[in-house]
Parts: sequence; structure tokens; C-alpha cells
Amino acid sequence: MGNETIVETRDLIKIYGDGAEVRALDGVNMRVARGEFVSVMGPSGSGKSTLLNMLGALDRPTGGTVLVNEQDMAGVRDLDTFRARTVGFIFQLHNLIPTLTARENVEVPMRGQPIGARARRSRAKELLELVGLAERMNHLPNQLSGGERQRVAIARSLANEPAIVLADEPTGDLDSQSSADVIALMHHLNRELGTTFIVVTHDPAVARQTDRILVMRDGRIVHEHTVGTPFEEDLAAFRRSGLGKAILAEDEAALASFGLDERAALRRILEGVA
Amino acid sequence: MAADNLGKRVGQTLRILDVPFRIVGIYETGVPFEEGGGVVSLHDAQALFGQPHKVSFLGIWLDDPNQAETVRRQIEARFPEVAVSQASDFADDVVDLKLTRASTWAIAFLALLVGGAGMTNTMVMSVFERTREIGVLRALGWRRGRVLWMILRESLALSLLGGVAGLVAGIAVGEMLSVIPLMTGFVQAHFSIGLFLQALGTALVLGAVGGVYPAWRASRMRPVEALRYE
Repeated sequence: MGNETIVETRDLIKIYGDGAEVRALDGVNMRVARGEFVSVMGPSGSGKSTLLNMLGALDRPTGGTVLVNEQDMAGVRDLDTFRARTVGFIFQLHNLIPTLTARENVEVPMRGQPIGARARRSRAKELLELVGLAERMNHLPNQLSGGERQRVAIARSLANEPAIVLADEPTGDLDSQSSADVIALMHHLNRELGTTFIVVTHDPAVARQTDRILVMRDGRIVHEHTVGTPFEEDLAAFRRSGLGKAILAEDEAALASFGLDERAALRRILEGVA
Repeated sequence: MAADNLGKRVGQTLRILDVPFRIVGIYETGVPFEEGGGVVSLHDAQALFGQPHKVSFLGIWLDDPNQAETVRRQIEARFPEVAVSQASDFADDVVDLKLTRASTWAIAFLALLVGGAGMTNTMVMSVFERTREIGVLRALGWRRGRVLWMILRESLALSLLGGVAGLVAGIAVGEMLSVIPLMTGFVQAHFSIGLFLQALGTALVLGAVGGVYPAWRASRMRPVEALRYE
């Protein structure tokens, strides 16, 4: 993962409605480095999906700047080509075409691009092998499990070797095991291919598997958190807890309110960590 | 046909302009116009219509029908007082044939209208039901033109299939009608490659016309709104 910025927003604003205005984005400033695996978390209505729509050129901002791969989106005339070549999308409901096989679905973004039919088929096959679905490439979506469908969607998102992949609640419709598999796959692809992933999720378990978490509320990024190892994450959680704060501050009165002395409190924390 | 309509058999008497005639035979030619009439001797006809030693027209049967126009010019040059027409000209002048032709065109026009409206409705519903799918295609980088062409192509394929089905059904019905006793002579189906091509061409044009609006509508969908559609 390098330090080169691949996505940047400056005072990004999106307002919906003419009468009763809704400020879906209220001055978002963010930066994502090339090769990062970033998650965007927040409650419903916080602007996560709207942010993704701006980054993916699915919608135009009301104000501010969006830079993707050093391109100012305001200056991009051909958004269709931009979406085809620079961005890959993974949707919550996989959104595979039901009448096409897995391989044909992966080929969809490549149609209309300067790539021959044979090369297209070969690339689709290669991507399906990458996501572990080589033997299912001629199956229709209704013959695949939820997790498999989402893996086809991941393969599809990589069809044109995009600079960034935007995933909107990719595990929202999956059971816990499939969710874990999908996120693990995205993690693997991020490391293997160096593709930048930006994932919108409301699931902290998913967010903890990314490199960095951006927390949104009311159209703004209110908190950024670099994700450490699980041990570091647990330690950080204890540090933030009432007991942890009391120990760090050597606050005897606060410790007493827990009914513990310092040694017992430390033991409680270590037992929790172990 | 005339015998059936009048309920007459050989040996019975038929009164024409109040003159009794004995039926000596019943003929079938396969031509409705001829089977709807009768044949009397020239002498009896001249007496019946008060036109002694006269004929109202002479029918000329040519060995080579391609010489019809040449023969007509020759007769007109030699007998200027005689009006000469080809059988096809005669057919054009007959009022009931004109009415039949007009009715046929009216029915065909209605069929085209209904077919076109049906095609448009089918494709509008198809586009409506695939709103989200179209949104996905646009999000994946498909251009408006590509989406438009996809819908139009589907419309053309459907109309071509419909045209072929219609041709098969038309041939089947035409053949059926020609073997039904009451219809024999009235309807004689005549098929040609030109007719088939005309029918298929019409179906394709209907498909194109009917599919244009839904295709345009699909291409104008904004991806972000189409993706939200459930």
C-alpha cells in the first residue's frame, strides 16, 4: 500500500430536494491511498451510500470536489467510460443479470470496451478462478448460493482492472459465514492485486477487517480509526472503557466504585484479553 | 354456387326476367364470380335482353397472356368504336372488388395498429420490470446508446418471431379455408416469397416502431435512481 492518494474529496456537499432540503453530504473531506482497504460506517441516513455514489460518478455533487485517480470529476464528460474503466461496483443485492451465466455476468462490464470476445471470455474465466468459482462459471445466478453470487459480483467488479472498487453493503444480504468469506476474499484481492477497496457497511465485524474505518454521521465524517491487530483493537477498547480509564488515571475513587482494587482490575482486563 | 343459393337441381325450372328456363346442368369452375351466375345460349340471351344479333362483349382467350397489351392495341386500332380491356382492368372497375379491397386494407391497417400498440406495451412493461437491471448496466459503464440498442434488438427479435408465427398461422388457416366445402371458390390462398418477405418486413417495422419509445426511455434512466428501484 503506497502513500499516493487515489481518492480525495474536499468539502463535498450533496443536497436533495427543492422544497424541504436534505443535506445528504455536508462537507466531506477524505483521502484514500492507492491500495488501501477502507470502510465507511455510520447509521442509516448518515450519507454513506451517497458518498459512494459521488465517488462512483453515479450522481453529481451539489458542491465541493471529488478527485479519483487524480481526475477532477467535475471535468469528466464521459462518465460512462469513467465508470467502466476506473470504478468497479459491488452492490448489496449482487445485481447479477438472472438470464446470464456467471461467466457472462463477469463479461458484462467488458462489453462495449475495446476487447475482443475471446479475450473477454478468457478474462472472465481468469477472474472466476481468482474468486474460487472456476467450476461454476456456466451456472445461472439462481443455481448459485448467496455467497457465490456475491463472489461473481466481486469478479465482475474487477473486469476492467479498475483503480477502485466501491462496495455498498456487500455482506448485507448474506449469512455470517458467507459474509466472512466475502470479506476475506476482498481482503485477499486487495493484497494480491493492489486494488483499492472502499466498503460501505453498518457491520463493525466487517469494518474491523479493513485497514481504516471512516465513521459518518449526518453527512460528515466524524471519526477516523486505523484498524490494528485484534489484540490491539481489544486493548484499545479496554483503554476506552470506564475501568481502563480509571486505571490509566490512577483514579482510586473510580476503581473503588467498581468494587475492585488496581490489581483485581488489571487481572480482569488481562483475563478479558487472553 | 348459384344452384346452392337458389336451391335448384338439374331438371328444375328457373325463371330469369320472368322467362322460364330448364336447368340442364350445374358447373363448377372454382371462380366465385362465374359460379354465382349461369350460362344460356347466345340466342336466348339476345332474346332475353332484347338485343338481337348483338353481343355486349367478346372474351378473347390468348395462348400467350404476355401478348395481351399488343393484342389490345391492335383491336383498338382496327375497331376504334370498341372498348378493349384486360381482365385485370375489369377487375379493378368492379365495385364489389373495390369494396373488398378497401375492407382488406382497413382490416390490415387495424391489425398493424393493434400489433404496434401491443409491441410497444410489451416492451414498456419489459423495460419497467428491468429498471434495476438497466441501472446496473449503466453503473457498470454501459452507454445510453448500448442500452437503447439492446432494447430495440429485443423488440426486433420478438417481432420477427411473431412474424414467423403469424406466417405459419396464416398459411395454415389459408389452407384450411380452401378445403372447407362452403369456402372453396370464395377463398383461394395464394402464397409467394414476395408476400412472405412483405409480411416479415412489416413485422420488423412494427417491432422497430413499437420498440423505439421503450428503448429511449430505458436509455434515459439515471443509474442512481434505477438502482434504488425495487
